[in-house]
Amino acid sequence: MRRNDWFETFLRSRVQPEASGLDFENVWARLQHRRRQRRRRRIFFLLLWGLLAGAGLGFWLWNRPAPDSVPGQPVRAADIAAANNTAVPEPATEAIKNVTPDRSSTAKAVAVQEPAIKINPAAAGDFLNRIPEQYELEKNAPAEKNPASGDPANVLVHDGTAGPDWVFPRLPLIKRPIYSAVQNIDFQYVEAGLFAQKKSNKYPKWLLGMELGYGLHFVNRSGDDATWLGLRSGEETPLDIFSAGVTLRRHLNRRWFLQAGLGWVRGADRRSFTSEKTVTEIKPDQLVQIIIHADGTQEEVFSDAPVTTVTRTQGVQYNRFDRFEIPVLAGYEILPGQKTGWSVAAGLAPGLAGRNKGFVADTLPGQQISLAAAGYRTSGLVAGIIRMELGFHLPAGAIGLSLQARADLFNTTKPDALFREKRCAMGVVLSFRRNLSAR
Amino acid sequence: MIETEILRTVEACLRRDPRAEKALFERFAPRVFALARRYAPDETAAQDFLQECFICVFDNLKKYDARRGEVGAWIYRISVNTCLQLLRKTKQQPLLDFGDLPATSDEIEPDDLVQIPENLILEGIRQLPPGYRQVFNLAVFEDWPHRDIAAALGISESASRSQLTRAKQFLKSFIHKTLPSYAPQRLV
Repeated sequence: MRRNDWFETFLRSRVQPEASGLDFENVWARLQHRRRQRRRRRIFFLLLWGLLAGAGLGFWLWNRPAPDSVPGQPVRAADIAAANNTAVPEPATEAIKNVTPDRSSTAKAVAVQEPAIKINPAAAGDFLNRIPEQYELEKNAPAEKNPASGDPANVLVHDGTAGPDWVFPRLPLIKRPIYSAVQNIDFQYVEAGLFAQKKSNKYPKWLLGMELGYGLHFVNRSGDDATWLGLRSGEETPLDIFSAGVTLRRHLNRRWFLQAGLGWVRGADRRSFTSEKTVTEIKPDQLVQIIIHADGTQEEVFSDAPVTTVTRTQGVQYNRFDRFEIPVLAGYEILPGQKTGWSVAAGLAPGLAGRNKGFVADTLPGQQISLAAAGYRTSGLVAGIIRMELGFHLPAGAIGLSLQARADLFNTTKPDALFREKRCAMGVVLSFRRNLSAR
Repeated sequence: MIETEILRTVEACLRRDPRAEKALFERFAPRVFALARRYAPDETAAQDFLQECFICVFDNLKKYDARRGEVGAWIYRISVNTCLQLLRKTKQQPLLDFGDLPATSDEIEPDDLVQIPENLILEGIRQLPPGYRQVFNLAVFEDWPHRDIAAALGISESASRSQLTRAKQFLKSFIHKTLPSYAPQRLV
């Protein structure tokens, strides 16, 4: 234990353990404001992490391999036969033999559910010469595509000694099969998705959609009356922002698109306030004076007198800022044609009309004024929008999940208002789009 | 507010009852503010420290264990740690800025100090370089042993001892120089 000297003892005795003279109410109000801000920030980051995690999960689910086959990998005919519970075909004299798989097969036989390609044995040598050239193969067997889907058929290839040995699902997808000899066919890894890429050259030209957004918004306020602005900052807390709208998207090409729409945006502020109302009334028969006479007797004088009543109200109210706007965005698909892909878009959202509902503190102490009287505008507002979207492309349309930021480009207040204010927001937007056409 | 009432308030705070949170703040804010004033470089920073301390208290309230001590002591300890942490984060005032203190030869006697106002002492403490101020506060007001101070600030025990001695010398000198302006209050 440390030994204290007289000086330390003196200092401890002179410094009060509890401080006074501070406006603890004010500190408490600011403390609450900070805690709300922290909570909002936490919610925002949770949303962001949720969005990223959801996007990652969605991407993985969308792209994960089929349970019993590796995309693009050759499947052994023996495995298929085992799955079908059928015998492996006998060795044939031809280099390539027609094989039609059992259509009732399931599970591992997925790869051969389409009719096998039929190749004239006489042309086998030619086929094997041409097989590395997928387009040549297509030329040679145009009629062998699946008539229902138009997809190329599966091909079974013999090695010439032991019957059908390998099955290549959708052979034309194979970009560069490498094999050393007919007797020992050995195909390299087959790149999956080439066919899909080719197919995806068809991209939708027009898409009609709807969007729902949620985010948090922030206020940047300035003006000459610092005291009043300080009071308002203490009272008002920007809360969340909702948006909903319909959109029409036009793809200019595979990558670039324009999007326009009609949207409704609602931002909300919470205002915690204390107001005082002072009422002075003349009330009859009030004790207004006590006269003490020289003999010690007291005389009470009753008369009409003004009585002042101060009513202090503490309350919470919500201010709402509604906007109808026409967001126009230009965007760029980073990975066009993929089932899941990122895109970025930016643009402007000019306001059509708006409505503000609520009150803020007036410059006069204890008074409040409406948002309109305070100088908030309802028209002539323009916001800048930037977003990054993860799109899940479906045959009929697309689902998009975006991280979006928006900021007012002009003040939301009239020029003659006592303050200037701009708002910005950040949040997530969920979009549903339906293809109207395809090119 | 007796301890059982405070515990009930803490339980209500855990249920996010805003009235209980305010009551807890009102009960302990003066004490925490007195602490914050000694660590912070000025009054504005002290108010910020007070806010941060209570944010930390409310964030960690669920970790409070009544069997291990009173609520007040727990809040006070959290506040000390928060103040140290805030000073560590403030880049303009590094934790261990043990700049040279002026050599002091002025000696004062206990009788000189009878009527020294609290503000003057706080002013003197604030004039200490941040490193000295922390050692001084932890040693004198929190009564931490040098071993704990050294561990908390990442210095050696001997450094803690010497910084405390020099901080006290500086304070005595500061008070000695400032005393004439308080002459009417002195008992001669």
